[in-house]
Amino acid sequence: MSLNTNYPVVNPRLGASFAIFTSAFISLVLMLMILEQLGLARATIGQLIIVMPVLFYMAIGVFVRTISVEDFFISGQRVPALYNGLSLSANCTGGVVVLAFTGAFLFGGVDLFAIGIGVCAGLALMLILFAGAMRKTGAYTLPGFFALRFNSRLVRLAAAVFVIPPALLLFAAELKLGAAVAAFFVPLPQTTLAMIGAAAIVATIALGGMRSLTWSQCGQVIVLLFGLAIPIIAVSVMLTNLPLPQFTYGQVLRDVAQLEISKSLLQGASGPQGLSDALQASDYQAFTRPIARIFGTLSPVDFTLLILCVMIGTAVLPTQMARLSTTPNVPAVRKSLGWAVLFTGVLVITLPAFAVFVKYYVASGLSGQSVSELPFWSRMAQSMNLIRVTGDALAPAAGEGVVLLKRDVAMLLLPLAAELPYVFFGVVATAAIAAVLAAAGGQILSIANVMSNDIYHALLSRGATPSRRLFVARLSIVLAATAGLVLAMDSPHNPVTLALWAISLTGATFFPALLISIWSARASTIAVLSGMAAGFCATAAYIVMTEGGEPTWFGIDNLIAGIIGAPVAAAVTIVLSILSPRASEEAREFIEEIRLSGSETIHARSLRLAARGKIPKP
Amino acid sequence: MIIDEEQKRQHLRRSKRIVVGAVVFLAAIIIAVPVLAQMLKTYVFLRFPMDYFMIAHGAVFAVMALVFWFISAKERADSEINTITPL
Repeated sequence: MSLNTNYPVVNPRLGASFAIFTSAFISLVLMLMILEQLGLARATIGQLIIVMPVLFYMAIGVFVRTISVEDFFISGQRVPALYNGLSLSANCTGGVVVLAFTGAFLFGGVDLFAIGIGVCAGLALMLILFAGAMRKTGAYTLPGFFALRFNSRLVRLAAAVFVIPPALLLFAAELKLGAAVAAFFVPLPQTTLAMIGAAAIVATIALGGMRSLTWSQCGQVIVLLFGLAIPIIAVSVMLTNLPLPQFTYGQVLRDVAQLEISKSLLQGASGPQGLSDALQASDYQAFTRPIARIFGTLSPVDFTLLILCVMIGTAVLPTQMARLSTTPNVPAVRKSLGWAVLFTGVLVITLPAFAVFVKYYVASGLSGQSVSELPFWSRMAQSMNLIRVTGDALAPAAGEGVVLLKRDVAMLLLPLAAELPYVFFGVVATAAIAAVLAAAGGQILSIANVMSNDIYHALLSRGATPSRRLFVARLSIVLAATAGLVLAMDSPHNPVTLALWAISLTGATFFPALLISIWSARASTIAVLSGMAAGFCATAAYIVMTEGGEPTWFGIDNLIAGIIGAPVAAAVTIVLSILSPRASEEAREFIEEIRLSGSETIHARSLRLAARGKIPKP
Repeated sequence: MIIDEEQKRQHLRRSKRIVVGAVVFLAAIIIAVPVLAQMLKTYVFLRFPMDYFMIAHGAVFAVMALVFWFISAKERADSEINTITPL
């Protein structure tokens, strides 16, 4: 007798809907280009290009509002692989990769590409080790998976508690970056802009939850990809006569390497430096490191450890784990991760082209020039506080200036330096803001899902009605956004620091626990609980201690504290698993079941059997 | 189609081999790419220094290729067994 597993019907009009959205965005850009030529003020153009897409996203989020629990938490499990891949890609890139990674590459060189490799490898590792099993369980959240695996409320509660701090750190990092970009267009303090950004995110996802997040993220990724592609292709054609910037900037890279020597831009460089020195400075700084020299900024060990830390953190990001349950079935979730790796890979190999082109224009046009002979675009960039040029502007004969750029917004300089129409400056900024909103929304929703499903419904009020569960989730969205906003405004640390700490905490807490839970029937409740606690506490303690002035262990920087925490967690989990009684038959069957792709999910089966009174309600 | 226990065990063993192979290849990418990059730094590809190209492009392409291979291998394994099992 075969099982009748009903897969949800996918909306057949999705392609048309997003084609309309894409057309609307391109029409907006073209219209603003025309209006710029007709004399519309730049301030107005900038505000329109930034605000209109945000209103589009909010409209999408409100339009797909829902009162269904399945739609709110797992988008009805009918998101096709391509669109889920777009959302997965949006969750793990965000403003941190688009803005801060590009800036880090610009100042630190190719060694910082370890972050990009880590993100792609993390998605691959998620696919290989976790995706099929997570989708087969059908859990709404990562703590929900642990609850199904171990049938334990304590593990569920502990995992839920450990999800929240890293998600808040990532949300705060994204808000800081978004506010920094928006400040070039909207004449408000960055604190106010962060509040507006948080409010926009809440408005986008509060009514529809995961459904709103999914479709608004797809729109945001479309804006991100087009917004980056348009200016970079234009600049690539101008400099290399070819439209594929990812593969054609080789000559420009060689020119930059020669300019670094001829214009004495490497005078501060003296071999590899620590990871904190390479990544922590986000204020105005000059070029000092070679862009194309392997291990000119980081040692080979730091390079590899950075990849590993980012990889294990990305592989178990709770916001990604929740998204694995939004596809119709296991093959769809694999394909969606394939799409996610493709989109993320294309993005990650495009961003260095941005950095190289920016450095080319700055090094060739500004460095070593007399202050009185600087090109017009540099004066505009200075007036916008994008760059600073030291030197006495009142005494043209005083000598050469030194160009200082801010790492986290340096990529915005490219359209100005290439003397493209002003609207392209706004297009790059709107692409960056789209990335920020997409990732930030994912973090907030992951907190809300955990609060509603794993704490309120599973632990405090098992008989809660669907409307009550949705109310708690929406309230949690508002509270989490407020907490993240306070953290963003109060934290003195730069966004890359916050993001790497969050990745370290997530990887150290959940990677060993999830790996052993899925691949070993021997893992016990106490082992996994202790392992998660050990990983989280070891990583957090290492960060706090080293920030307080204590020396590092084995030279491992606290930005990759997950490298310390993950082995601690793994050791505790493995030792306690070995000391635990042998795996029960139930655990063995669970492990076998989640490795088979077909049939209904374990969560759905539990609900079905509970409805017939055969087992307690999960 | 209902699968028997022996088919299920064969499928699980095959899946495990695919996963282990993929993890080993991923580890090899992370370790081998920087090592190979230093060895090949004198070569040029598409006007990029070869060491730069391997880090900034090669590693990502290798991960993409691994992902596409893994998906097709798992699909083949699943389709051969047509994994629908009884409760």
